[in-house]
Amino acid sequence: MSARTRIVCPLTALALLASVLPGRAEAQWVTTAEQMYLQAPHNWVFRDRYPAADRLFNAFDYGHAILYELLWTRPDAPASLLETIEYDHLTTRVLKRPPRLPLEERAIAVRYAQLAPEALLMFEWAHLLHRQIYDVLADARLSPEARDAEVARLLAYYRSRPDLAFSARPKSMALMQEQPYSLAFRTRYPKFNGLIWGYHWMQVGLYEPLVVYGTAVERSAGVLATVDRFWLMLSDPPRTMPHVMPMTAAVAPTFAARYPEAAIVFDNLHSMHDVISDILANPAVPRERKRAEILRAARLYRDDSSYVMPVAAWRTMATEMGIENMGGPAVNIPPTLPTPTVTYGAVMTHDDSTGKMTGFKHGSAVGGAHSGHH
Amino acid sequence: MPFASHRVVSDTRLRASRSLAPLLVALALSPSIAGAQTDYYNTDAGRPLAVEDALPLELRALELQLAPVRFTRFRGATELGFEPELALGILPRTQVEVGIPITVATSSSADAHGSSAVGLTVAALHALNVETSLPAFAVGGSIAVLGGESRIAQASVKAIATRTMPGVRVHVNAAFSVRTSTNGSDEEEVTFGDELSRWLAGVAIDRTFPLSSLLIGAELTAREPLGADRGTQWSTAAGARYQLGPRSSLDGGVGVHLTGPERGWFVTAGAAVQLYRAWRPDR
Repeated sequence: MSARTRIVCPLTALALLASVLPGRAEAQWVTTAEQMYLQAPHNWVFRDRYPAADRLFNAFDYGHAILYELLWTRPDAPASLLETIEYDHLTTRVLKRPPRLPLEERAIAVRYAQLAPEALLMFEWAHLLHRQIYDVLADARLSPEARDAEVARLLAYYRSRPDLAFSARPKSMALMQEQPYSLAFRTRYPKFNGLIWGYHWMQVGLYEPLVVYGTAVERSAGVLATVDRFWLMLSDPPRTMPHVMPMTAAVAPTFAARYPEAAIVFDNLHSMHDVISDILANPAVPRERKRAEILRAARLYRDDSSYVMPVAAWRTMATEMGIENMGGPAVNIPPTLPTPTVTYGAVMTHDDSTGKMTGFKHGSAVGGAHSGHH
Repeated sequence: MPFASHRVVSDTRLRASRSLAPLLVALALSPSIAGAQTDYYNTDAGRPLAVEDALPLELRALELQLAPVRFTRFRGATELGFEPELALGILPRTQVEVGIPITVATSSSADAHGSSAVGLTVAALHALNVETSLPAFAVGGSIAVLGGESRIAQASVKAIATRTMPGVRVHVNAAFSVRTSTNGSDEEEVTFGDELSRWLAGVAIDRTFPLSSLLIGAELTAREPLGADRGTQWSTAAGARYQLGPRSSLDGGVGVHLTGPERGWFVTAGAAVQLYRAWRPDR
């Protein structure tokens, strides 16, 4: 072994290493750490008991990831890339044959994950909470009191990462849909936006049968009915899809009453999903500003002071937005989809102190309880 | 840390390893171990490739590598390496590992005994950052103590970079080692693993199939094995890693040592499980 070889081979590796370095000056040094979900006997119970629903959640993760990846990497693509090609792929293939395991989103949203890994990890952390609460509520070995204690423990574990945890204070819808970049996504991609709202309807709605029903048979039937209702939402998009963001307090009122902190976290999570879609979809936000805007929104959704409203006002706001505009209830599901009372993607304004609706900033009423508002 | 191997003729140790093997197999199959996370996307050295990515185990994860097995054949001799290992995400972006490498070898010459060796490895990996427009970087270190007629202690440091592109990831590893031996010489020792080398440099590329939780990869490595002037050993390998369940994964690979005194081929197989109730922080 010559001394030259001893030096050249490791140096070649270092040169290869250097070759993968970007030349861009704006390179970000991010150190956010991943963390394991809370280990507990109820881990993966929901997956075992309700595999069909669980697999759909895996497919939902794919939908979120590919959405952000395409919005970020194909900004000039025609709307049909998402509205037709990817939508059809999702609804006819991925959702029909959903993955059996939770997905590695960094492998799907490669470039988006590199753009804002902090936001990606916030979503992953909240998605773990989502799944772990399904596990608790699906675990028939737990008494109602034990479930409450476990959910409280999960929330404490969730909050142990303030750099990742969404605030448990309700946020005004103004943070989601009254920003300079707001509405870009729902306007340009109504079908895909409706699909995401359908995802969010089911993600919060599925808690309701698990909380409301007491027997295994009732719960299984309730979960099945909720999943069936999700599929019905895809029957004539976007007409049959939720017309506004589904709010947990409206779609899953029993769950939200029992576990308000979790419900608020999930509403904030789903709001920020929409915000990032808008930031990425809105050409008025320059590409070099996308990351900064995403991080700003993430910070606002984590803190306990920005855009907050009282819990009672949050409940009132959810009611005033109208369950009929969110896809309908998740238990005691009527045979047909409700008739929305607002135009698709309407933005209602609310009094932040009471939650009472004050009017429309975008869209309008088409009847029912909202017909008196302008 | 995979397959640090050290071949020394020793029937006593061979018997010891034979008695230890069933114990380890029993441990691997113990019902108290409930499944495993072990993300197929987070590759480890030796599972299946020598070149690993810059992702450590996530904080508070505890993983048992059940059966990382490596079978090597060269010049008529064979070696079976087995290294059960426990890994813990002990700090943010930091994992520590403890492994027990066991090697059982047969000689190509008719008058030689079989041999075996048992050792202990302790390793750590720390990710410096999360991948952005910059690659992910990690640094690691390990100490291996390997028993035979002579004892070897080796300390290694490693640098890792991972760059992800749509569809593929590229990993670059570079490791350097220093060592001591109780007999003061490398001459009698034969090492087949990837760890006992003065240096190792390698590049790997892998492709992920996220909807199937499957990863396939290939690598090219160069290393200078321990021992007197053995020359650079070039190797290439390919492998796959598959997520079996939410807490378990499998991997396997094949490779060829293209040059060097141990020119030959090898196969690897492994499984990992995440230990159940690894941490109960607030009870």
